[in-house]
Amino acid sequence: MWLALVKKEWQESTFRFLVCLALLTIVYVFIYTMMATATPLVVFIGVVVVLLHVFYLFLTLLASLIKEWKEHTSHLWMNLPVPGWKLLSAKVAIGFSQFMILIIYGMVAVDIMLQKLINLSFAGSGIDYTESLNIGLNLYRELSPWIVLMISQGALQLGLAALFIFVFSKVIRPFGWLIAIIITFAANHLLSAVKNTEGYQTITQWVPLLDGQQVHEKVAIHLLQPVEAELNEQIIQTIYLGQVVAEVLFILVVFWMITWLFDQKAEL
Amino acid sequence: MTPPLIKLNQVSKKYLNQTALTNITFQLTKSGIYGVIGPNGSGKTTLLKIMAGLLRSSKGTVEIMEKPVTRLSSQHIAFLSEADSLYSFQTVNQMVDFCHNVMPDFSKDKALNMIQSLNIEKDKKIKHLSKGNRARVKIVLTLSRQVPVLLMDEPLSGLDPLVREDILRMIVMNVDVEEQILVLSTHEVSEVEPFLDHVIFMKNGTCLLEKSVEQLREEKGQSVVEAMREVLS
Repeated sequence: MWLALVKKEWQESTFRFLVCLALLTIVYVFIYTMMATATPLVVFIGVVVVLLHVFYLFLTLLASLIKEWKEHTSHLWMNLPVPGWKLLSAKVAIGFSQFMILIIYGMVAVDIMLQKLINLSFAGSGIDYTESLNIGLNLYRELSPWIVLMISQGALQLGLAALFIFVFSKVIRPFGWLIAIIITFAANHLLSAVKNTEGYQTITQWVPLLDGQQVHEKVAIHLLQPVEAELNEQIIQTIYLGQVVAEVLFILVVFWMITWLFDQKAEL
Repeated sequence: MTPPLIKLNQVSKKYLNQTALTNITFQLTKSGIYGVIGPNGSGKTTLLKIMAGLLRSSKGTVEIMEKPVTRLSSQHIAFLSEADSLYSFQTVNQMVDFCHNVMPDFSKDKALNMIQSLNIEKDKKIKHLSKGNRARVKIVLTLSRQVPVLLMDEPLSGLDPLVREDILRMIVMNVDVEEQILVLSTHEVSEVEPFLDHVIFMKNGTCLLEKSVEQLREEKGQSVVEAMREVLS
């Protein structure tokens, strides 16, 4: 049953996904060819591309839900004798799979660009960056699963926000979406405050998976000047298994609440 | 005593300042074909959507099999929308497979037999079908569900007379009037009159009359059309 829903979601979103993939390819080719000459522009486009990845799930879920309503297929979709969690999770599963393809594609593209950067000559600058860049590339490869994990976490949270905002807009009319946005920001603020409490940290800081101190030292020693390294604050935090479990639980609870709203309160 | 299959009690619906339904109360206890009849804007669509659990009433209660109606009541209710609600990117075959895989109560054999008898091309995408055939497929998919309640919102709307006749025949032939309740809304009575067992007349969001066609004939000596003229004028 669920797989049939997933297949339908894949059929529905294939065109959108392929357009995104094609656009990203154009952007990567542009960055690759222009990286030696137009550095500020390339950096700007790079930032935009990273943001696009983080927002992909948010945007694709909204697009899919809006399309159900715009094309009146919601009349059939809402009348399917299937619990809401199956209907909504099929959409999330496809959106997230496409996001994963895009992020892996993006990570490979960055790897190729870093390799090109190493090969580029920096004649005239007077400084040889080759060694630092090589270390940077190795570090990037070593940390890439964590980069994917962190971007995925952000993307999933934004995806849930998209689901919540849309479903809530079908529960309270006419300004349910606005109320949902306010609730999302308030809940996010509250969650951040809870995460900073000693109690939360005590509960979740068990089984370190990534030692932030170690990573910071590597970055500082190899990539920064000694003075900078000392002054620089540790920006990479240690990641614990407990934090990952807490995040997963949080996502599941929020998802369950959204599906309850969808099944019991949402309207056409 | 059989509990009412669908029970509406003082149901009202408001969209912002606009009232769509006011204090609708009735019970549908017997199987058969019910016609919800009324002019455009009388609240027929809203009523059917509320009965399907796709809209919430602003006041009052709706129950199906003694449980409050929600979206999950779709286990017992098949709803046919007046709008084109099929996935246009799927072929007819894919649509049938999708329904078969997603709806435990869906009879694939029944759907394929009906599609074959209607000469609809199974490999064509929904978006490439004519309006009449899209309506036929939509109705086939609804009729292929083995559920106690079928709700059809204006199934004949916007179709030419030949297609309407064809579709009406298909509906009547494929509803199990001994086991299922079919509620269909329409504003054109003459075509559906011969098939109706019960009528619900609506005007300006209120239910003016709910009676069996037999009762109308016996008590008032009226046909549905005559009763409609009297009640809705």
